[in-house]
Amino acid sequence: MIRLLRANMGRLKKETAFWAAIIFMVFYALCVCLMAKYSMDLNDNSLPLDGLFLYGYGLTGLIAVPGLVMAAVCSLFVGTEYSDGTIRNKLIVGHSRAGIYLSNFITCAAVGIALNLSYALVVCAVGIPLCGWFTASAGTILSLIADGVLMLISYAAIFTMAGMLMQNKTLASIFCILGVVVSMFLSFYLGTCIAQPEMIDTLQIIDGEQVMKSMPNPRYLSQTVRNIYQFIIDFLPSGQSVQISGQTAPHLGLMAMYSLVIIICSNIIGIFVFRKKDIQ
Amino acid sequence: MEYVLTASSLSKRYRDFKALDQLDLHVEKGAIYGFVGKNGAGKTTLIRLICGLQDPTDGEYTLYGMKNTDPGIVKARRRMGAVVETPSIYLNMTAKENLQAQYRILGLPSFEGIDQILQLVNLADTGKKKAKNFSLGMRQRLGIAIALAGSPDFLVLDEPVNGLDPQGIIEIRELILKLNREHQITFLISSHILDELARLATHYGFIDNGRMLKEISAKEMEESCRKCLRVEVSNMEALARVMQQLGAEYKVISQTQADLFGEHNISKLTIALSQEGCIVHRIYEKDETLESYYVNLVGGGRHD
Repeated sequence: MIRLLRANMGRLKKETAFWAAIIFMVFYALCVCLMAKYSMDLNDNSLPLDGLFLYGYGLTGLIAVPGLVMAAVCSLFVGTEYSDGTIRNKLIVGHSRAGIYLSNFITCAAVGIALNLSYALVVCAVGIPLCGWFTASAGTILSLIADGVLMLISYAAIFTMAGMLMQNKTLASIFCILGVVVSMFLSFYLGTCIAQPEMIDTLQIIDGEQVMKSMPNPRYLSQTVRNIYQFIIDFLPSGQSVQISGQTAPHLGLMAMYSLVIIICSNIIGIFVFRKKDIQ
Repeated sequence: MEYVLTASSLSKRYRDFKALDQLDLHVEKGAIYGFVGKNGAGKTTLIRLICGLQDPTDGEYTLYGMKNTDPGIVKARRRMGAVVETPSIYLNMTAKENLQAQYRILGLPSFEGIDQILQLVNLADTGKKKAKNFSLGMRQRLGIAIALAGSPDFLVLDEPVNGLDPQGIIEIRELILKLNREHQITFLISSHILDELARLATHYGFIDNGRMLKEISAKEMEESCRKCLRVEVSNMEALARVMQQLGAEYKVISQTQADLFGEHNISKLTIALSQEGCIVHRIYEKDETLESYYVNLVGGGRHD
């Protein structure tokens, strides 16, 4: 598999989509720093570096930026093997299907980490002089980074599975990008539902007088539904992306475990189906 | 006889469609094996199976004596190269970069030999031109170059001249002959362009509806397709007597038909037969080509 990895890395170095993604992440990091500077100047306050750094895993708890970029790059990278027919070259010379699959997964994971590193380097280089050092404890920051990296690897596992099993580059790309968008909005929506307060203040007119009265929020979720919604957000990589970047992740340990479950299950299912697959 | 590839009762089914049906095949070492059949006959399916792209539904094949079910088949595959349908090349890379990528896949320690391969396939001067800007012939040659990386002993080419212009066809033909003669590479070439195949092949396998109709060497084919006179006569014994008197080679086909080989004076022949009381009903020159042989074979197969 080392040979396949070397071949993949050699190809990645020449992949336009990969370099375009790196440039995008650098540009994105610069924009985040500039916006922070603008906000600090406007409000005459200082922003902690933590938020800026965590935007590398998503934008303001809203947009799963790395997921979207990885969806495009990984599906194109893996899909090219089918569209150019080069996956045949690997099989014909005797590489195992599991080896081909895993080498593609590792390459996609490396893409995610490289994108995150390029963002982190720029944010640290520009953000530290602007905002100073992290305010959260080193343990918290490291936990968030570990969760974020596992989230990126779980994205890689899903995109590799889609790309390797679909055989159609365009279809795989659409599936991956749409998947991120849908899961991102789903996570945001579920997060909004969970954030509903138990009681709401209502303005009522009693005997001609306006009275503020607290009453139960009809949109407040029961504990069971709340747990299910929270599980979905914690489980989905886009949900993790939204939570980490919004610094609203209540279950860092669980999220890491869910990412590992996604990585292991996606690879096992992907390799199993790919081994049975007829290649054209 | 040393075989590079053999197949025994090999079958492949896609749902209800039988793409290969109990196919037997024998590719001798050093041969250029022409695999002949119409579109959809099962040629590409067989190639996909032996390249490990798909698994057979039934039957087995051996590559360098290694069964397809044996884990050692992986090692045997390292001795082969293939171009299946379209050339498998990275379109956004140059010819050299494509070969470098294949060298890495093969785990070769250096890029030594890439320039020689590019020269061999006449792509040494393509420079920084990306493969997406190559002509069909150039892509085909690059596909062969990639298949040649790692110095294989056995090359499988699926329709290598399909869609090429005359110059491209000549270049591919010369390349195949050169590789076979100078580098002793065994070839399995599938094609339905029979004239072209006839210029190359040392052995033929005719496939129709997923079944092997016949395997024959080019020599045997030449003998069976020898130029001759086909005569239809009323008295075969009389014809035999006359041919023995003339000391000519002949072959009795049926009670009324025979093939006469060599040069004959038809006037003298008919007079001699007439004197023996034999009437000549019909006489014509028979010059069977690969194409007519194939048509007869496929047609005959259908009537069986």
